[in-house]
Amino acid sequence: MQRPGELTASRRRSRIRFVLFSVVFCFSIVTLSLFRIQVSSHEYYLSVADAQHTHTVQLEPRRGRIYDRSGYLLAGNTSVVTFEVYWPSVIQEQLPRIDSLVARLGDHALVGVPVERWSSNQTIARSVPLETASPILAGGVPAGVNWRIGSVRSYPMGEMCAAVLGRWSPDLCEGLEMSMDHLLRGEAGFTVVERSAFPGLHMPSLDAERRPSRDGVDLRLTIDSRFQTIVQEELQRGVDESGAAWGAAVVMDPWSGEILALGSYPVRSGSGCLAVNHCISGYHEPGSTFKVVTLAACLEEGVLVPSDTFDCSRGQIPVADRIISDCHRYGTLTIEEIAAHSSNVGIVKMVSLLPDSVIFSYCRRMGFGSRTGIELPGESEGILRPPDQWSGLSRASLAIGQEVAVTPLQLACAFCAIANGGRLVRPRLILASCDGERWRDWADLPASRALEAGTSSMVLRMLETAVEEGTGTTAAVPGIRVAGKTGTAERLSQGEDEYLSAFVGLLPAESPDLVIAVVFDGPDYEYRFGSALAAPAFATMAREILAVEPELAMGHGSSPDSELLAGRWGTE
Amino acid sequence: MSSSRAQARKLRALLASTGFLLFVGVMAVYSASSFVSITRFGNSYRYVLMHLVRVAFALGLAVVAFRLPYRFWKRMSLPIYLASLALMLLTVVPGSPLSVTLNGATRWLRLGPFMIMPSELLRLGFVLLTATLVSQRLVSPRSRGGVATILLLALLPAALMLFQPDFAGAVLLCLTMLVMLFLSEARLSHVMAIVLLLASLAAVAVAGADYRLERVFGWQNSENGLSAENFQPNQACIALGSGGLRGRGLGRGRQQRGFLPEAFSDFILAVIGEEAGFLGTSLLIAVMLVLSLSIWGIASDADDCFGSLVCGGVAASYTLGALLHAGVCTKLLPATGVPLPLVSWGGTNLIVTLLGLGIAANVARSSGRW
Repeated sequence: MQRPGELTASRRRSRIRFVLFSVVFCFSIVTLSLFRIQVSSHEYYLSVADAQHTHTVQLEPRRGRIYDRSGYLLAGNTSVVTFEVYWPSVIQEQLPRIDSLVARLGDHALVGVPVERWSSNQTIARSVPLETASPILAGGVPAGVNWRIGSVRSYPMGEMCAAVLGRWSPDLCEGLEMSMDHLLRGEAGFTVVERSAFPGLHMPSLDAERRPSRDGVDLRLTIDSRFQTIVQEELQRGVDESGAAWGAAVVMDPWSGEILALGSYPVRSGSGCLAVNHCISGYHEPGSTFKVVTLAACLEEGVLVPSDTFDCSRGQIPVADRIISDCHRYGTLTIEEIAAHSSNVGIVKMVSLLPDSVIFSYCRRMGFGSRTGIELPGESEGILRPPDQWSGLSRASLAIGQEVAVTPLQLACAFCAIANGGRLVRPRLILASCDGERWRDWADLPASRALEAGTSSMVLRMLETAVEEGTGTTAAVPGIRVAGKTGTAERLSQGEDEYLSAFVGLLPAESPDLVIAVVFDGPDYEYRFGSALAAPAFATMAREILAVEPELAMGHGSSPDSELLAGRWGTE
Repeated sequence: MSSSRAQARKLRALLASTGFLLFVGVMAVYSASSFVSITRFGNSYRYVLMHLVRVAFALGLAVVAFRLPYRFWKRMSLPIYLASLALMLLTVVPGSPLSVTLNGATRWLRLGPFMIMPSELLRLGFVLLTATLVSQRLVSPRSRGGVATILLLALLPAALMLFQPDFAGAVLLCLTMLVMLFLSEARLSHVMAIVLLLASLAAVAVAGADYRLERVFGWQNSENGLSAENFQPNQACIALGSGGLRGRGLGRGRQQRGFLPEAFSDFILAVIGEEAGFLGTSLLIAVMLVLSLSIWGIASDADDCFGSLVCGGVAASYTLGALLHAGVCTKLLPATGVPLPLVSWGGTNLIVTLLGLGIAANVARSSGRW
């Protein structure tokens, strides 16, 4: 009963067949399109995806800490917060909140209130201590303000140890911080995080490479922070009182070469950088302190015996075309008296018994003219010319500490050889290091033989006399025997006489535990002698060091375990 | 009885592919929604649990529809159409207490704990009503008046959808209407005239809304740079493209962490493509094609005109939805929000699609019994 043109199953089927073809065609197009995107353009889209999903985060290593020999912290790291504002995401209504944030940051803020808009990212406070920042952060920061935690180097002892440590910041590196930077700095690492589109919701990438950071090596120094403070304060006092240009002092353990204190004042130059550390740098004529080399050389070579006498009654002696003179006319002096009174004439007469090459070799054997190898940057080797460059005057000049330039550290090392029976020890600043697992002692540096034990003990006795009854009486410390030698060097500086006042002392004299070398340069006229400035400074330092460490007065080897110094844990 | 055996085979294909797509959908919704779920609710499974509840509910409805003789829907067609039209009106009425606005569009109604999208319901209502009208000879598709009636039945709700605004829903409805007309053996000249009319209407609708204009112009050009107008399709392409041939691995997609908006509804194919690669998407497309072809096959072999037209409408609705979704994800079409039927998050779409498949399954079961 169908009318023409009405619905029939067969016509419907043919129309459905047409639709079927269209459907298959459309799905084929979709599949082709998927193939184009997923397979043909895979590399392109993968790079776009990686760019928006992954984010490389630097992992900063912790810089190695530095301790003194007893474990007190000398250089550490403090967490600080840096505040930044990304101005494009700050809306105008938030400005008062930023103002109050800046106000709470106080002195740390780099901008004033009210803050002015900037074009893009602006650091508004840097190095804000965590204890200041945490309450601010706990209250939440306005939108657009970003903060991150960083680390700055901190020095709990302030400037007291700066002459040794120097200073470290991302754009400044001085002192031990510089010479040991390869150990202290560690190694930065990185990790790749997968980002989400929402801030803060990130997760570590499962398949991206990562490298953990390696923290810097911790160091334990030979420095005793108590001694260091004593030395540094006494140097400052001496410089302030005498009008000297600078003062420098070294305290050493003569048996191990460990440097217990190394002070230099002023610590900083006018620009704020570390000033020259005069313990190890610069060129200074040592003056009479150098006479121990001549004494030791003559005694060791056997050209004279302690009972020999020299006629010093004229108070002067012609050498080449010059005249070398004493301050006083002493008459006939024994060797011991020559040492005690620091008679130039006597020393020059003594050294005339030795050939040039021998006196030169003793200078070398006692460590002059070469670097000691201490772990600090900028050490100078001094000046010691070989005999073939000498004039007729040179041998005599050398004998009394002229025509030679040394560092206080070299002087201290030479006196260590007197104190320890003739071994020239190598000075060292680092006792042990820790790479994060355990502490490892640094090996002792090999010492070389400079003198026979007999010679050194003879010189030691003479130096004791010098303090008891000679030029060094101002270096005496009540209740303890002190050996030592004063030095006063004179030089012309810009047409004026300038003096260098020096004293190197050993104590206790019977078996020295400490060698202290003190040098002041350019003091006022009345302080020019070693006995007037350096020797009293030595005495003060020694007295205070013995006050904090009384066992040192007993001398080396007197204690059953022979470990008088703090922090020497089973080494040696 | 060969027709009956052929229908049984198609029924098996329909059930198998539907089950596969639902399973893929649950997996994909879980993977795509877990990040958003964690950020909003603190656990990863909130969305997938809701999805599972909806799947269970929709499957229940589908089983009921499968059991009911499909002729039952003849009587229900007008009430369903009118009810969904009324619901649709509610979304458009300003200040309606039930309407819900999301992302600047009012397409949903809140009924107790459920959110429904009347436009999805209306598409089924339209298919049922048209099939009823044509099979009962109440309208004649070969006459101008009949064509105009069917056209009006679609254009009236389509106009309401443009008000919501839901451009994709309107397009989907109009395309379904075209297929229905075609299957109802309307004259080809009429069909062509309506195509031209719809195209010009679409052009006006696009020009009338700035965001649609931008999407059309942003579509295809400016591959470089993630400009605002083609941000979503570009992110979809990045997801698909970075998946490559084998994909990054299930659950290891990165684009759903906030980069790809609407990842578990309008761009779920992109998520699947990132995690399962081209192998996964082509398998998915193949299964979708199998499902589509099996419904078309049931329509072709249906016993009566009503069953055939209802199946055709369900097939058209499903196929067009799937193609639109895939086309948007692969940047073949301008950006618009269409869920992938059976796979995407979206309760009304799931329920309506499964209900339609249930009716189609009953059509297949009933074939050749008399």
